[in-house]
Amino acid sequence: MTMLRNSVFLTIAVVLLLLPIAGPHATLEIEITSGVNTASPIAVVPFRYDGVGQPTTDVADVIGSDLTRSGRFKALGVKDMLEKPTEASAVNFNNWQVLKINDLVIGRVKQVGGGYSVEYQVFNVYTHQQIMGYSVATSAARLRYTAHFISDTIYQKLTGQRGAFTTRIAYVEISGHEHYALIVADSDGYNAQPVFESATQPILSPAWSPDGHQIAYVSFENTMPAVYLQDIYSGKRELLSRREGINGAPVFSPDGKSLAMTLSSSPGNPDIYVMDLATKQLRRITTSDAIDTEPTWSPDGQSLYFTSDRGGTPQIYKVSAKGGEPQRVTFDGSYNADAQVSPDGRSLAMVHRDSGNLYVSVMDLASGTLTTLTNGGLDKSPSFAPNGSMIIYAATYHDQGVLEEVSVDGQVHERLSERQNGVDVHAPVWGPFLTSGQ
Amino acid sequence: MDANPHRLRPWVYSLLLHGGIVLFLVLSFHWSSSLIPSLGGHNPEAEPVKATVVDQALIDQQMAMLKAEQQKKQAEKQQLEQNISSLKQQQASAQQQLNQQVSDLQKQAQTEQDKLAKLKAQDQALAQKQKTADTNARRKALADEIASEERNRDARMASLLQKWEALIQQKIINNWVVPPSTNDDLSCLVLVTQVPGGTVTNAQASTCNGDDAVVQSIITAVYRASPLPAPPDPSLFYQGRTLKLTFKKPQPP
Amino acid sequence: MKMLRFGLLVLVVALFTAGCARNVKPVAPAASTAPAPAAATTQAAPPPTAPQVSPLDDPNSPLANRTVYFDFDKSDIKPEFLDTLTAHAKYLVANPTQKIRIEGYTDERGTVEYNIALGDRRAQAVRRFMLFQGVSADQITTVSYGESLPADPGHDETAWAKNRRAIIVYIR
Repeated sequence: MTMLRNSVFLTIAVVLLLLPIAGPHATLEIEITSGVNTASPIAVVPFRYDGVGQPTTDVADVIGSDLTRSGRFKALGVKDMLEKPTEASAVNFNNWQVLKINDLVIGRVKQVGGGYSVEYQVFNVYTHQQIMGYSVATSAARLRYTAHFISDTIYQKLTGQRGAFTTRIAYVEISGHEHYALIVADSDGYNAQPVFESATQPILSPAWSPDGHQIAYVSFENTMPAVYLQDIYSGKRELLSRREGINGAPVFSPDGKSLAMTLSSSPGNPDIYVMDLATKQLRRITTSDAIDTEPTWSPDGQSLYFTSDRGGTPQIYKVSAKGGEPQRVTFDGSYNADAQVSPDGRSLAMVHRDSGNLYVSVMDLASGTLTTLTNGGLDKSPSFAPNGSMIIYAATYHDQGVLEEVSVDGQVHERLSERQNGVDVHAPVWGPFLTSGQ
Repeated sequence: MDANPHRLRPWVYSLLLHGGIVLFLVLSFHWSSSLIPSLGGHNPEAEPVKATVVDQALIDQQMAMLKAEQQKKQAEKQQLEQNISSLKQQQASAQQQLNQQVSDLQKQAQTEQDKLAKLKAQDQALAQKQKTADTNARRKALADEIASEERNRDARMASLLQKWEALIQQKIINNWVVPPSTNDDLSCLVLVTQVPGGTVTNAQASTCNGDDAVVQSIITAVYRASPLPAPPDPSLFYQGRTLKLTFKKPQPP
Repeated sequence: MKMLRFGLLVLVVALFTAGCARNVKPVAPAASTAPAPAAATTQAAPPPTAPQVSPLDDPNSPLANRTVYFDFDKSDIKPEFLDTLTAHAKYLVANPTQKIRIEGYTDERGTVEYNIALGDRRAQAVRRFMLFQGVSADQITTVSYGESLPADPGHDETAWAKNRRAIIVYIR
């Protein structure tokens, strides 16, 4: 009996084994090698406030605006939300799936002593899993900064890239076409503070030090342009160069030890120089009779890109930081100037002029392809965010000088808060990543 | 040694059983092909006859002609015999002559009959050949038709399967927001289970060399694409009950 | 006959004094006190001497033109300004202690620092012209403001044309 049973089992086993070979597959294999570049839909539900009065900042609103401005996310408007949970237990994921939201952020601001404790949680709407959850202690004065800090952490978790929302920008504000002020503000334009002012003489070309403590800039305070260095915390100012002719376009090297700038090597002949900040010694980099100006450093500090019209009209050139024969880099059109290298060193932002119109464009250094990102016609002074995801620049809107931010893929555009009539904003520069507490 | 025959027996049973199954399979295969000729309802006999009718008429005609001739000769013969009987006495040699003629005619008739018989035999042989060739041709044509139909069906199913793959692929592509941290050598394998209707019931990354953000984006993409597109032919569904998706870093256009 | 002669004399004198009266321009309010009667009774004041006007302040002097305009992207001196510049050069040669500052400007259609360099080129073009005319180098300083401090803050061709300039500033 057992032998018969064994043989039957054996047969069944063999037959079963044979079946998959004889029959068709039940698994499809598909390769996915492409996706979309659109903003990922996210919802930041207004945080619940546990405390007296009102919090000093609408934290959820700041987070939503930050993420949307980066171009990588699109925050759902509060009026479109089907529910507004502030605890994980109150979340009904169907209400978010139906809106095709990918990630959900909820939170609470709790008044604690003289400050706040901010708790937030991020969920993947489809897997229902909590991706991250933190609690941050802060003061009333720093609540907005904390909101930016939360934006940074969410951005990093969901994109793998460091967020730049706690960084700062500097720019020049001109009132009535003659009153100049050098301003430092948050990367979204809030909390603007003047660090230097001049009644009638222009301020130009601010540049951040890599540690975010100092700004170099050009001031015409003695009816002559000179390069100054100012510590924005202490206010201490130092004159770096006031030679005859041009003193302009200062820019820090990535290690903070040198400053490249434009000086007149002889009347009417601007050239690129590098100053050692410790010794104040100058090293001349370019030697042509043409205009050589607007230097910028590569992220490894080994090369300088600059504008030169040695070929007839302004184009971008590259030269070793030690000096040598510059190589031309741009060949599109007859006017390319004010190059800025992206933090990853792979692309150059610049101003491209076409038929008298100025556009901010980005050139991929590997392929040489130039892509126009803006269409204002008077767009200039581009500056990369330190995470390379956005570019801030100066534009003219309704006859007024304004600041705009554009994502590097050109998809998202935002105008920073406009000012009253008669006030123009120029020359924005994006500051570096800051270590916490600054 | 006593145990041997007992030990062998199960093996014998087993072999017999297996042999029987195999035989069954083999035989059943052949059976399917021999079922083919039962198509239509034509009488294979009818067709070849058509072809010989003309010949038959001709031969009949010939035969009739020969018969007529023969009859004629008969009549003549009779006439001659009459003459002979009246002229018997007169011309014995003439009778001999006549006899000779008759025997000649008979010979002729014989050769013609032989000819006819030969033609008839040829005709029959031809008819037989036609019948076999025709049937074989039919059988071959039908076998070819069936094989080609099967090939078409397989090709159609294969192309429909491809189309289904493309539909699924496109829907996932449209829902995959690629994060900036995607590494150049990304290769992320995701195993997906779906139920009829396309609803994704499970999506899990197995081998994946992307960071958290990338894995999140991929899993989200699969769920956002749910319900997955239905196959163009419902019978294909079971072939894609599970999906093995390999995500690679998109190349710039 | 005598009546006629006397009448003629009076006529001539009256004509002359009338002419003189016209030449006198009202000066300080203090000069005109009581309503002046007919010219015959009041002595017409003698014509005042013209004040000493420096050519630099004289609006009719060619030196009153201090601005030279340029074409788009260009820094070469256009022919219509040569006379003006020559006049300035002559004055400076004649007054070797007089110093000037030449300010170069551009319109806004370029990058900020490149425009500083372009404005500098324009200022240098004027300076070189002066030096060629014999002006001493230590009389001239230059500065470029580029697109800053525009003459016309507008964003059209009219405004831009007014901003592409070099200005001679006499330093007192």
